[in-house]
Amino acid sequence: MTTRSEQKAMRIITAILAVLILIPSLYGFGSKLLEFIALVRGDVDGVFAISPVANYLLASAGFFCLLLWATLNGMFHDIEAPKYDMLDQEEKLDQEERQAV
Amino acid sequence: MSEATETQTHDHKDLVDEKIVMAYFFMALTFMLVSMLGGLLMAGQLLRHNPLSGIELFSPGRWRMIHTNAIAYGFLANAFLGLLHWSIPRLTLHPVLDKRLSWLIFAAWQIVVLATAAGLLFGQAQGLEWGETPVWIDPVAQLGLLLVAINFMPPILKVKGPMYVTLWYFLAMFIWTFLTYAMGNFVPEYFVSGTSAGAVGGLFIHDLVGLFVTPLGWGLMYYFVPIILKKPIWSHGLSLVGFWGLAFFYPLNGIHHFLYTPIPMFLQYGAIISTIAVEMVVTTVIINFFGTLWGRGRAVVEDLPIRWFYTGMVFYFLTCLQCAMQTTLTFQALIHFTDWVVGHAHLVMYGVFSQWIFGMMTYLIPRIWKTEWYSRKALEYHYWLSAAGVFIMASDLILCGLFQGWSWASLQPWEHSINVSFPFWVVRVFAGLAMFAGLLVFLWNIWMTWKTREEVELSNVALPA
Repeated sequence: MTTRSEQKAMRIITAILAVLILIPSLYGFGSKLLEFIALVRGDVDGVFAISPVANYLLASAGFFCLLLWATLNGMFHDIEAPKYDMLDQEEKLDQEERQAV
Repeated sequence: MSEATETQTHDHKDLVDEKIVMAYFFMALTFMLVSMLGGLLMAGQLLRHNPLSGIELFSPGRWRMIHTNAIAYGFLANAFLGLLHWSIPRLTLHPVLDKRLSWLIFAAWQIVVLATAAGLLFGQAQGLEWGETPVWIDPVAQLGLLLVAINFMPPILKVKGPMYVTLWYFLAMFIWTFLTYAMGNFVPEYFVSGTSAGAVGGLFIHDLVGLFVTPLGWGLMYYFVPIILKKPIWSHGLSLVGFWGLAFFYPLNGIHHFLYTPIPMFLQYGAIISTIAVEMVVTTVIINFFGTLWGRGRAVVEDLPIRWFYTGMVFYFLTCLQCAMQTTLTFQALIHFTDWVVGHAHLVMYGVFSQWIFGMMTYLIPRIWKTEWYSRKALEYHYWLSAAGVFIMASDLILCGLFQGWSWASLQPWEHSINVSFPFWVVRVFAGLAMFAGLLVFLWNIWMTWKTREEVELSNVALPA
């Protein structure tokens, strides 16, 4: 069990890390995105870039939504449980099969 | 998986149609035989010993495409479809949507592969690497992939609660493969042209490996390794890192096939960086599997399927490491268009995925027939001829590629690089013959196992109590 002060400390550390990592990353990503938009609008090279980048962004956006959905629906709670369930299930299937033979 | 649903069953007979699994294996091995014959003919052509010289229908360029397409769509796709029919119902405790649909897909897929072969031999190839399927087959193949998703996704979607990593890989693969095939075969053909089409083609080639073959291969490894070792995967959390890493980093990789082209440099750099990122992800996957093996190392010696799997994993790590290096601009300048790339392709397609499939067949065939292998010695021959053969072939071609690259870089006449390559091409023929002999031994062993099979108690075969 974590105490309230520990929880507060964890929140503060998470916030600091988020600021330190996310702001430079967002700045980098944003400036590259602007560069890309400028390229698409102003340069014939932009046409070359649209298809692969659009493909990537569409696919990644879909998987980002899936990741979000999985997180919100508890798919990563008790993250190690499925590996034990899978083996138990296989054992049951094998037992049933043995009995059937 | 963690929560039971009303329609779940633990009766293997209700879940798995073993006949279709074997039917897919039979077709897969048939196409493997065809593909290897094509490979041997091409190897002979390079040594100026082409037995079919002068016959347009069997010209080397067409045979080469038969070789690659028969492996991708004939061997790998058929074997994977058979393995999905085994693993998905057992993992979800739900059968596929409709067993009649499964047989329809089976028949349709063989028609697609055979029509592709006929189209290629008659010179109707589409101008896209690995997407040479004639344009009139593409809509049928696309429909086939849709039917595959419709048949296999319902049991996965019925699973309640956190899913096992294998199901994540399979679920994503059904979407990725459908989109990848559509992107590669229709976008460059009808919507974009020139360099833009080249960029899409690059994505297609690599996504077919990374988003069709790779998730199937690793998904099946996460299923078969724990059940054979009777030990859970070392870290399920780490396995999910591998899955999501593949999902986000892989799709940009493909443009590394077209470095030094007019494709904008920031796209080329993006492809290089995401390739190196994928190598990090691969390292986590390899650590996870070797963590699982920890304490059970003897299994690699004693258990043939496990030996096939871990040999493939070592080759996988090597190919990905190679990939991370060869996509750097410095390295690419030397090896582009050389036999290095051919060696790399053989290492990944045969050394990794085909060997994994051989391992899974070695485990499942006696289990399905409820008998023991006719000859354990023949299984050993199959393993050693295949593993040693592909190792020699890949090493030989990779080295050959370096010599070719240096020859071109020093501006020697073209013939110089041919003369330099010749000894390597001779070695390649013998390595290929070893791999072919391995396959023939395996086929003979399957035939003898079928012929001499006896009903033995299931627990003696592959179900240790």
